[in-house]
Amino acid sequence: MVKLKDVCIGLSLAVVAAIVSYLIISYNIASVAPEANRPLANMFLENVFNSEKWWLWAGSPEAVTSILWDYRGIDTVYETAVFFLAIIASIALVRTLKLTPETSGRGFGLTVIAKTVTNIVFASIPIVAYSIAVHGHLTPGGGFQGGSAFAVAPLLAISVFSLRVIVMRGWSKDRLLALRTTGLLLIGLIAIIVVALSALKGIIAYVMQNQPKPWAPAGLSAIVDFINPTLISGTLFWLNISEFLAVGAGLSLVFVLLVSPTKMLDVEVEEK
Amino acid sequence: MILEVIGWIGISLLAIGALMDVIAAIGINKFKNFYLRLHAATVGIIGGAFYPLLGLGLLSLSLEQLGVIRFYIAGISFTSAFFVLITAPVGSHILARAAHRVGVMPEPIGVDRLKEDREKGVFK
Repeated sequence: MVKLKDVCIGLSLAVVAAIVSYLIISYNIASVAPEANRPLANMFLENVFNSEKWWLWAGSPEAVTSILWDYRGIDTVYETAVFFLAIIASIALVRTLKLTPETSGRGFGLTVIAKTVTNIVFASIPIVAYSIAVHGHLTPGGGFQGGSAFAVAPLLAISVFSLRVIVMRGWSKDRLLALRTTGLLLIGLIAIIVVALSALKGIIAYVMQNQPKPWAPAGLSAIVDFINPTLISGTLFWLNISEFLAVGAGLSLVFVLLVSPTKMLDVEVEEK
Repeated sequence: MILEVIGWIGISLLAIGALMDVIAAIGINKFKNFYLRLHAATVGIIGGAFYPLLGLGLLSLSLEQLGVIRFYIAGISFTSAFFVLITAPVGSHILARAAHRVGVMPEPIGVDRLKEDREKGVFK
């Protein structure tokens, strides 16, 4: 049954892996991660939800979201812009594409069994995705993760119901791009809203500022009295929702474009 | 008392799940053709993922020292179990359909009603 050759290959691979890992660890080629947190991590963990040090806090117990959208928020804004440009470029590649129900395949889809179950799953994906996005300042997750989870819905629907059904339900290129752009515009608006509001009062504030600082006493309040006092962490909640809109629509658009058949490209326009 | 019973049911479901996973792994390695291996894979999903998730939910409900968190764990476990239960058969169904459509046939084959129906035009 078991060949001697297979045993030899397996054993020699195991020996090589063991020797290489021993060498790497014992000669400090790559150091093993320490068990204790690094000083930087401790600094973030101490300050991120510490209302006694209100000049350093982000108002959110979720350290990753705080770092992404507060401590280095401008970086994330530009990251979103880069992603937007990548999608613009991919649309420019297929700019002659015409997404109409007539051109987008036969539209049979898979069997009744698959369609029935996909109906149930399809309805629950946006709920989960939205929940990930709006709890982004409380639990791991956030706008990007929520949007990525949402983009599974069109992917699933395309593979089970066919592209034609998706196009007939109104998932058009322009509409998805409009949603994507709306999300990015909202992020840009939230980035400067604190500056604009504080400029009316004559205070100087930072772009992408979330919580007030002693030298720039402006910012959105971390707790909002909506039915109950609710923690929304200032701008983080709104940024997460905008990012959810942007990423969900953008990835859906890319998936719709990726599965479009080549004959949907209007070649005559290209020849002119 | 009732909580203890629920807890033991949960633990036994977890044990059944571990056993099912081993059986499925043996089946994947030993079975001869695609359809039989698909059967083993489905044993691994339903037996090795659905039962343990159900058992985890029941077990966490029985542990009062967890406080309110046990309802979160149980809720997430039951929801995941439900989705595994309804999606796993569809996955294997679609795989089997695709394999049949591209002509993967087990050897030896006695009767193939699906092929007959497709030739008659009942199915596309």
